[in-house]
Amino acid sequence: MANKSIMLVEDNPDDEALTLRALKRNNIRNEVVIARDGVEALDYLFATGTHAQRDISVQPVVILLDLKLPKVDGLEVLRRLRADERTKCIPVVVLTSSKEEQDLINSYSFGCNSYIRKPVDFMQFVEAVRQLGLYWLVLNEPPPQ
Amino acid sequence: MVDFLKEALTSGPFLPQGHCYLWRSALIWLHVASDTLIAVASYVMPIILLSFVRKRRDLPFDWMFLMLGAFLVACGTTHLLGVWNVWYPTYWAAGAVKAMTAAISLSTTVLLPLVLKAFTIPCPVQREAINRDLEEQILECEQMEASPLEVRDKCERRGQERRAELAAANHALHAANVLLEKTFSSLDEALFLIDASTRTIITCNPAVERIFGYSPYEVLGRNTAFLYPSHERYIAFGAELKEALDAHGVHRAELQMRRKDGSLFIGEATVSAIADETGQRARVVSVWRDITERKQAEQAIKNLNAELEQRVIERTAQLEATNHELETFSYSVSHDLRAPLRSIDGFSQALLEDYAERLDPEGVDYLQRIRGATKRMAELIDALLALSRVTRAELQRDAVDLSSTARAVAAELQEHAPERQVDWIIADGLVANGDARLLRVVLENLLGNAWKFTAKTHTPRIEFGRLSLANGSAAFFVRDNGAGFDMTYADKLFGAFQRLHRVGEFQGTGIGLATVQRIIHRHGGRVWAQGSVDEGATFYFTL
Repeated sequence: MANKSIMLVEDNPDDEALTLRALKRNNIRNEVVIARDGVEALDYLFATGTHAQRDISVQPVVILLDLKLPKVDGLEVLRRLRADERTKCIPVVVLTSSKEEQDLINSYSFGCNSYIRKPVDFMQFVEAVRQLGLYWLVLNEPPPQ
Repeated sequence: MVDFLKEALTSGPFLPQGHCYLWRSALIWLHVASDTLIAVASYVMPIILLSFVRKRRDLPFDWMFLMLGAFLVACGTTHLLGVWNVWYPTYWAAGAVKAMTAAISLSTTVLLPLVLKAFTIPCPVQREAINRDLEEQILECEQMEASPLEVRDKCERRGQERRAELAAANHALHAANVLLEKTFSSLDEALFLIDASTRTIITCNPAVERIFGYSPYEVLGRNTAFLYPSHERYIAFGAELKEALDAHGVHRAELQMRRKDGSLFIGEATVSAIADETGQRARVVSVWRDITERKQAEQAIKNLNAELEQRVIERTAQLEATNHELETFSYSVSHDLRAPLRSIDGFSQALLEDYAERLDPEGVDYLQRIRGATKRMAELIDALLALSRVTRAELQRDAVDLSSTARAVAAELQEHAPERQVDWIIADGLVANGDARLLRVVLENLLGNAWKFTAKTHTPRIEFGRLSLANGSAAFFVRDNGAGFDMTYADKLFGAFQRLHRVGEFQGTGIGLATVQRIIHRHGGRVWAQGSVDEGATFYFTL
């Protein structure tokens, strides 16, 4: 279980800190890879740019993706992930503040696996992360590497 | 042969008739005298007949009389020969003459009736009638000859009567003509009577001058071509007319015409055909109106319409742009306003958890208040978003089963707090025409309010139904027996962020009713409320 890494694509440092805190509170000790904008996320996943040295065969078991990102936004990242053979199957959980219907429609039509709306209440957020972790890291079978 | 002739013309071997009489003188002379007399009579009668025929040359069928005469002669001859035969037995000759007589008498007998039939000698009765007619005619002639003066008077009187009749007829005709003339001249429209074959103007009315600029005298007898802007138009309209009149007998058209001064105008023509006795289209009546002004007005209206359309398009574009702006605004509200809230709440909680031992109860209390405030703000943002969504969305009208929607909302409310016992009275078959989603929001708010405000009631009862108003229309209502409200504040109920209870008493954003009101108004309905403190509230709405 320790090998399974989680990728968190989040530009807001507060949200990043809170998410990590929530993970820790739930005793989820998997490696968390952080990308702070769309370009970084894509670079990591495709082993290009700043992450050119990375072994591309090792991919996170789940990507927690925020929609509003600088440079390249969440939907674009999702689209490109789904377009490439190597990353097509990686489970993506869209974790965002928006409940706008258009965002829901777009996310699902681009192929996300799940859509979670970040609650304002931190306790609820912790609970949500716990459930996420339990599901995607324990219950769910990830695609083969 | 010779023997036969000898026998025929001579006595031959025969015995004379005297032998039969045994030569008794009395008998012989009886026969001889009778036969002779008969013969004489028979000869005399034809002579009388002959002289009669000669005198009356006009007698028709005089040959009939001659036939009769011939018969009588033949008869007489037969009897004479009978006398001859007493002494000389020339029976063959006698027989021959008899045969001839037979032939003549037979023919006469056959022809006689035919002749008598055709004879037009009038019978006495007919002759009387003819006589009477003749007498009358004679009388008339005598009368005429007798009083020429009377006749003259009679003729004169008749003449006068005739003259009077003619005068009256003329007068009537003249009056009719004058009426026609007046009608003709009174027309505001120009009227032409045109010969169909030559297209020349037979007559026209004075209005021609006003519309075309020509006085009637200038145009009489002329071909209508000069009224058209060009010769091609004249020909074209002629063809158009012919086709239309053949088909319908009447034709209406708007076309450009030329006035005397050369200016052009748009005229409206109504043309109809007049047939002559043979049914041919001999003449054509055309009535003209100057519609230049009307055409200009029409054009002005068209221009105005186009302008309005353009303005509407612009306005719609503006509205769409505004709408789009609002959408992006709501979108950023969703995202950007909530993120800091999350931080505030999250780190407050972190403080509480990690630094609890270093904080005194007041410090903890402050942090709790911070968390509470952020929670409220999140709720308000959500409510505002919902409200703005209501205005933005397109109304989709359908038949909505409000009864089942209400039951679903009630079930949801019950699910979140299963320990609460509420008496739900939801009427069946409540159907309304409106947007299903938005109406659900209405019911969620109203029933949710009822649920909220009956939280402290012993036996909460929440009703949803329909009733008839005073003016006959129907209204839906949600009634509860909960906390109610003071009617003096009734007009504040639906204002956004307006609450009639303190935050601590009942939670709520104060936006719910504002949302309800906006939705109902978008459906073109009304919403109002009645209530009394601690006795419950009823919210009514129409769609």
